[in-house]
Amino acid sequence: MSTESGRFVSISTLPSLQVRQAKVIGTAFFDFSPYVTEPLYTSGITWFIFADSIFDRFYSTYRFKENTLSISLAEAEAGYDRNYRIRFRIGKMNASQFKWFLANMVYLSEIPNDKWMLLWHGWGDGKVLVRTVPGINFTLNRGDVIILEVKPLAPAVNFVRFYFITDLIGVPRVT
Amino acid sequence: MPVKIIIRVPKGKKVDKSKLKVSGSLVVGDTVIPVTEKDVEVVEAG
Repeated sequence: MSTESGRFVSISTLPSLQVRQAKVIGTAFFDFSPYVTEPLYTSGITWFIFADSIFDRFYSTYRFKENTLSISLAEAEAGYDRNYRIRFRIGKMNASQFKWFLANMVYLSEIPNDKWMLLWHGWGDGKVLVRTVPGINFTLNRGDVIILEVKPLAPAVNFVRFYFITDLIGVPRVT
Repeated sequence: MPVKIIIRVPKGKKVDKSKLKVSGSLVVGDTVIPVTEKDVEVVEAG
């Protein structure tokens, strides 16, 4: 802002949004075979749930204010160490949807589309890589959870690995 | 608990969680959080 005397006056504004590359790399290996064998595999299913406290990690690690995060890019991979076919979906639930999920998960063959915000899905043999479409953002509010649903389409042995890399857009804390 | 893993097994399948072998980690920035059996819940299909 220019004044008549030619000096510039700086105007304090709210902190601008910042993008940080957040890397959440998860690995989990476990043997599914004691529980799921042919022909029972169709009712075997695994959910990985990133709960509220993961976002606390985001806030503290990347020094964002504790309100909401907007995610602009994410990738995840799931698979077997063998070339078995799986279906892989990622979605977001709010607190009330997650409460419903916990009460009803034993009856679900998969999460109904009206009970979460389906973000990405895919299927493949051996492993599945899914990533967001560029330009598609979604916002995480406090209490939201992200769920990775991995459903085997063949007998499952020696499960699974995944990673979750994301661009976070948040408001930085003022120090 | 930053991560929770739920394994839903077929109805009538005996669940012996001691047979479950889980290893892994969750890395956020420089923080490494181990993923262990205690993060896993095994439920039987209803």
